[in-house]
Amino acid sequence: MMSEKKLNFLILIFLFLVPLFSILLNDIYITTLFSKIVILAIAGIGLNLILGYGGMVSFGHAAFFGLGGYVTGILAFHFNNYEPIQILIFEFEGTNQLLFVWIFTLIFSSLLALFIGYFSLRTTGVYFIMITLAFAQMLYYFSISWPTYGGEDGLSLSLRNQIPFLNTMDPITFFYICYVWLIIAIIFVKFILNSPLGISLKASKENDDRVRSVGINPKKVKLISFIISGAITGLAGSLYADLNRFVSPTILSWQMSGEIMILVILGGMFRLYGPILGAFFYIILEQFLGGITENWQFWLGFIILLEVLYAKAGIMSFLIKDKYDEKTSS
Amino acid sequence: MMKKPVLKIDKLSKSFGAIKANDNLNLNLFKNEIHALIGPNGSGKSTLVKQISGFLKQDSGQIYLEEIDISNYSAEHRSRMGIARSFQISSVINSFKVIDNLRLSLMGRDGGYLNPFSNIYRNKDYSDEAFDLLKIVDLTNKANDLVSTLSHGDKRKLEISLALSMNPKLLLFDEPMAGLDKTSSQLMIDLFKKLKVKAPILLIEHDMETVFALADRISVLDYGSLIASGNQKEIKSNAKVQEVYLGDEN
Repeated sequence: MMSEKKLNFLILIFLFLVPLFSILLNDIYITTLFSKIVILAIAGIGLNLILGYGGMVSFGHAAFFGLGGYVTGILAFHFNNYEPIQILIFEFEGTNQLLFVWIFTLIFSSLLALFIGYFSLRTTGVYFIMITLAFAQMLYYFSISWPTYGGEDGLSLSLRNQIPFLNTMDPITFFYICYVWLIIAIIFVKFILNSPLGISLKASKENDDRVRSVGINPKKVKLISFIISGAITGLAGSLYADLNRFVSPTILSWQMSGEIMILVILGGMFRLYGPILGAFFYIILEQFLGGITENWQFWLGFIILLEVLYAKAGIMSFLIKDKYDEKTSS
Repeated sequence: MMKKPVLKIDKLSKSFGAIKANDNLNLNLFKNEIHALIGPNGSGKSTLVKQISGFLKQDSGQIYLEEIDISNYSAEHRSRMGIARSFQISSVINSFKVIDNLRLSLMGRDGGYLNPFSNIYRNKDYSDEAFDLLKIVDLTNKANDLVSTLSHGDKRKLEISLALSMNPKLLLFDEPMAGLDKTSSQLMIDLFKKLKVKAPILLIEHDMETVFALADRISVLDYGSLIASGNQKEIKSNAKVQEVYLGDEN
């Protein structure tokens, strides 16, 4: 048992040292595996902002994750083919420069989140779950029926997108790029949680009437938070596309939304670092159980069932002293 | 010259299906006064407060705050304009600390609540102001307690301090004494007497002892209609009020 701060610090140190373990064990796959963990953790941190702290159960975050992936894939596809992207009367060049790719990803994910959030936040509870799911499924079926970008077969990237002076094809370099984004996501969300927006979000999760009676519009608060959440998840999708050098409709499917949600719940919904632990255990279980049985998802489901029954606050609650499971005040 | 009301309710009506919760109501609230709203359960008192505060949309009629028609303003807009309220059942953020509830309201009052960057817990002005407000309701020793651990009376006090934090032009208190012990009730009565100078109070209260201890004017509702309005003497001697509400109490 340790303090939450200490555990958070250890998680970051451990992740930082992963490439070293990988070199010592002479197994570069470990680094690639942890790149996936870090990317899913970023997506989870994005979802956790609205799920854990805002009480919005979005079952459609694959829409942002997938959009991030497709923005990345499409920009690279046009760059490699020397074909401009045509939107109405406008033409744009593709790019393989990650800095631009990330900017485009953040813009498009935010815009999509604005659109989905604007309509979804008119509902609550099960209707909110269904409408977010519906939007994501719409995008999923659209991507399947869009032959220009591979349709059901997806889109391959011949090389990872680039950053000047860095070799993104090197697994260790790419891992540290993801790691830096993880740190940025953590710092950004931590800022938000202590900010006027964050305290309003946490309050509106519990009591909309009180929030309105002190002059705060909870819908605006939730919408802005939804946009930020979508942007962070979109960025994770972009990194995921580059990691795999491949993007397909699978990352827009409801299973992907479920995967992100599961890792948030698994790690601990009300903890900033919960999704990192969740992603770690999810991927490790996937690898470990997948090596033993084809039906690994059954056993994963069993483990999640146990967790939901006996440790609602997630894996983090087992490891830290502070058992308070719904931390809203700092 | 006629005194201008801080709050003017003009022919306000609200129905829920066939039930008329408020029927063509007219009511004024002037500076420096406590105006008590009494009536049997279901007479439409809380419905009126909800409409004034913007939590319920009226079917017809107008609401004016300092001569501005606020009938179509949202609840949050009205709060920022200075209509502060307490709820019939304590409505606070239970998972927050006491002081964080006040930080939330002070921030809401000042706008800028969409700011994702500044650290609200490090805003010294808000911390100082929050402590000043807690001092008024005698809650400073519980500033850092979780609201969920507070007694019912302390939650009531917190609600009053939240209303005060909004720089109110008008205070709407919906049964603020409900469930309070004698000492806390007396503290509230003394407090309300001081507060009415800052902002007039529209008070819904069932405890007639409290109403007569506080109210400068009293309006009586029955089945959504205003059946009487006047000072204590007029209300006490009103035959219809005696019949529908006060009965043998006086």
